[in-house]
Amino acid sequence: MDKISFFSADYRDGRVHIGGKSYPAGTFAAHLLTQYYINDTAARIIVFTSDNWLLESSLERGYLFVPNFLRAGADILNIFNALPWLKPFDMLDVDAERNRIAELFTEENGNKIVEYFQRRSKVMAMDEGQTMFNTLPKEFDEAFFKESAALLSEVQKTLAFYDGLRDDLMKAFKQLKTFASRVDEADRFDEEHLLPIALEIFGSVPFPVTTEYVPIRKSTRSKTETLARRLYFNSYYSFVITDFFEGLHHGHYPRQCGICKKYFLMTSAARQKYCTGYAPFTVKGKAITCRKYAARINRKELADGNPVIRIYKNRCSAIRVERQRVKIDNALATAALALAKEYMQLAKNDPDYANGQYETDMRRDRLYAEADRRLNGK
Amino acid sequence: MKETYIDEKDLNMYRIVPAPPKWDLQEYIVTYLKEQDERYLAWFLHYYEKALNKNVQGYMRQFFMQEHFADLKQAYIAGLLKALSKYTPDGGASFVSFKEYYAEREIFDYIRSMRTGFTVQSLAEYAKLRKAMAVWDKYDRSYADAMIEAVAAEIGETADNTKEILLGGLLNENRVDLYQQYAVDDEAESTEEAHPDTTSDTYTLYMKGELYARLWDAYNKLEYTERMMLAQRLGFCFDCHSTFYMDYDDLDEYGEPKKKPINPMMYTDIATDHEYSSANTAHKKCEKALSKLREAIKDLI
Repeated sequence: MDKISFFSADYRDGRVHIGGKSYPAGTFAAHLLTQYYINDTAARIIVFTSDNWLLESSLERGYLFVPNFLRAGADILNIFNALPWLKPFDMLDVDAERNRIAELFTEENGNKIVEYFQRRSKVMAMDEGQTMFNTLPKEFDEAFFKESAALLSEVQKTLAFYDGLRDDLMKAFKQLKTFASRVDEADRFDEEHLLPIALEIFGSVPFPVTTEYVPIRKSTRSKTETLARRLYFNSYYSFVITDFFEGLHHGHYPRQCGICKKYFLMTSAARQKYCTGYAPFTVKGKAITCRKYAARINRKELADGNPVIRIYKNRCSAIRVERQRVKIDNALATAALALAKEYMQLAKNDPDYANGQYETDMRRDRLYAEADRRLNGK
Repeated sequence: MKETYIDEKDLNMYRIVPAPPKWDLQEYIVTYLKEQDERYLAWFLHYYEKALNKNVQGYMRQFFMQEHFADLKQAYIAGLLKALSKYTPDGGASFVSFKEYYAEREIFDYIRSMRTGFTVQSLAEYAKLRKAMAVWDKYDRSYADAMIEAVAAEIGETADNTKEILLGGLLNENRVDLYQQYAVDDEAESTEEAHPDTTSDTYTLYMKGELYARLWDAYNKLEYTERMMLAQRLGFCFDCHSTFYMDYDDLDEYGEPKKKPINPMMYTDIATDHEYSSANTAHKKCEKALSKLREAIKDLI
């Protein structure tokens, strides 16, 4: 399991593999937009990182007040109450990280760092004669210095990551929100037309990312391994922006639902206006999807914007082409078309089916198998 | 409804054998009035009897008095004779038209006096009843006090009396004979239920089964949306076709869920459920589905 402070993600074919699972690239950018305000996730994370920069600067200057050190550890531990609400941290080993922080910011370690600073000051205060003949003061202990330097480095990196998390969250959210609000400016929702807007908003900010090429299995059912690019991130911002641009490269972009105002990831250039989730309103006491609510208030989107109809139309076109090329007989094609229509109507009526089984049922092999079964009365 | 048997003698009670000379109907009446010879009236009735039977049968069906054909016919003739005493050819109207009003009055008189149900005491009261019902009908038969008072004002009665008059009229309208009486060939009178319960007849059961089988067959051939919309509109479960559901949020005194009927959904809600903006779309789809079901059973009913 990756550490939170130095987590990695594998990218291949427009998908990101992280924590043993695979998502369309861009998922985490869209998730940040939606999760930012839910349960005050961002606020809870930000509030506990606001004072740690003082500790960072004192460590840089070479002194430490141990109670501040302990308080910084306690603040970081408080972040873990909200951090698992934010992807991808929920997929990382939060408990291990919490234990690491608890073990790192102890009074013993604080005193160790203080002692290290004090002993190092003696080394730094050597006179010319001592330096000429390498006469180190009695306070120098090589093993202690190595151990303490490593400890100090880990503390500084940890503080840098969690202090940066606040700025990373705010900056990434602001930029992604601006982008999502300007998506409609594009003539078409593809990489070519969305990239100028993205570059205008995000600019070209370099961030250090370590790259490695690793073999991965695309899915759990894959028998062979393929090459993927593994990126190591030392900040949340670098991860989110990488995820966004990797997604944009494959035509994925975040979009805001016109009813619930939540953000969702679009993986096609269709002008979809509403998400597939439930609206924050009820009709006669019953929960209702955003799309149905929009229809109710006469704000229905065009049929092409509806993902259910889009999948249906694509499948029907493929069936007709196959019938034309005599790859399937006429009876099977007719049965498959009727079955596809039934699935589409069911998906329009049942949101759970639309968000779950529908896409699988509309797959070519599944559809033909079921149509054949019905045709032959098996 | 089964047509009531009418005795041939009742239908041809004025037939003359051999048939009299055939003239124009009005000519018989004019000649009768001029010569005061009842022979011409008999000739008139001989040729007019067929139309007369038809008129009487019309009243008979209208007032559900199937067993009263002969009596109604006599009442009609009584009215006809009253009309004849008042008729003058110089008036311009033909006797066939002129006598209609008198004959109808006699028929109504007979019905009021003979039938069971609500009766009025005189022709004047009956006229008032008819007028009250006509005025009330004009006000869309509203039961509002304001409407009753408006009717009362128009017929010149108090509101309480008007209520009673209208109640009488309603009773008259709703009255149906539960039994009909008719004479069979051997002239022994018998009665038969006008609305018999035939639900357990073998034939009925067979036809019912056939009807349901065809309906479900046609229903299963409908598209998913049509089936779902019909289920929602008619108020039955899409999966098990039950018209009831168990409400687990509302328990009875034994802690068991209450059985409640599935309420039919409004077209607006059906449309929303299927992502349609307009209730008209849902209505049209339901109507289309119903017409498919009707088509499937049209040769059966």
